[in-house]
Amino acid sequence: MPLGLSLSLSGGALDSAQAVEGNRAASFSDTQAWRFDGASQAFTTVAAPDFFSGSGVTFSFWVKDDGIASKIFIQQRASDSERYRIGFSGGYPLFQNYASAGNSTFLAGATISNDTYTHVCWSIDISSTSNFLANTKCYLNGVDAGKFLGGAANSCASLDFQHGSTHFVGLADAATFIHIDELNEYAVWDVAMTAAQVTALYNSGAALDLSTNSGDYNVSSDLRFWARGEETIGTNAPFYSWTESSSNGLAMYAFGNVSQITSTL
Amino acid sequence: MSHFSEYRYIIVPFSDITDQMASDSVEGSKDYLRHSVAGEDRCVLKYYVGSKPSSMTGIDSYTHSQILAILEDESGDWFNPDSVFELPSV
Repeated sequence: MPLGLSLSLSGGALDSAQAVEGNRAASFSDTQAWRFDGASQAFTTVAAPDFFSGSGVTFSFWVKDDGIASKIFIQQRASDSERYRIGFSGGYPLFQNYASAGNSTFLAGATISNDTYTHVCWSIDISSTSNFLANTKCYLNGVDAGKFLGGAANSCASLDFQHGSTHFVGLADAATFIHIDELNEYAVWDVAMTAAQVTALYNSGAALDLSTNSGDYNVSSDLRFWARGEETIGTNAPFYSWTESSSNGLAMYAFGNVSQITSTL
Repeated sequence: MSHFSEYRYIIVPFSDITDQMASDSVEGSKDYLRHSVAGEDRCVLKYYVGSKPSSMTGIDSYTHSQILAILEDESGDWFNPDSVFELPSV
């Protein structure tokens, strides 16, 4: 059978809540990143985050990999027909949502390069189906990547983007682990960022302290999730991302002893 | 060069994975293993180079690049077509 990823996570998280409180990054300094082996390493939240409860969401991360152009590696998946996923196809950034009410797909119009650290930021507008198609954007290194071939491939058949399941990093589907050389500063906000905010977030190519407003980056209070390479993790033990408290269920669980490496960002 | 030179990987039929073997692996539990998607149900486990657990004695080991070649083989038993997205024709 596929992974039993959801079987025993909640209890472990609660039992270890006190121990992981001390794992938060004490101060901002980007020195480490995550590395996934593609065989058994992944992250998952211990509960189902509700990122899409408002009118939009922003996903942001830095990534570098020798084959990133064809990988999907972020997902919130309840089933094959109830999920959203983020990754790349043919080098094009992909955001894909499946829901019983209808599927949605957005492909950006510029490609990412292998073996090059790239900042990827999805600003997703779910205020209406037309706004999803008009306003959803993917930024690569702070620049709007446009729409795939004039938007021919993009669609929005429903606004059901919230799935009652855990949020995964390093998995493409139910049980396919994805090899990623470096993933850094993965963060989620429950608002769709503007172009100016994303430019500030890109910060001329340097990781930014997301917990503090700085210039046009003024949405720190909307930050819901921030997984930093600097977190202290244990084998098969939950840990908290920087912004978490023990009450909101967004502690993360690292499968297969996810590797932490020196960041080359 | 592989970035995961500290690991060695083994492939074992799920029915043959003992509690000891799972406990000895880096994964630490039968609940968190990658399964094959075709053929006999098999799983991947890993251990640290130089410390192959006695519970895994006699089982072939693979380097990271070798195990990725197996897992990412689109004609093999580990590749799920749903793990990729095919660009539409326009």
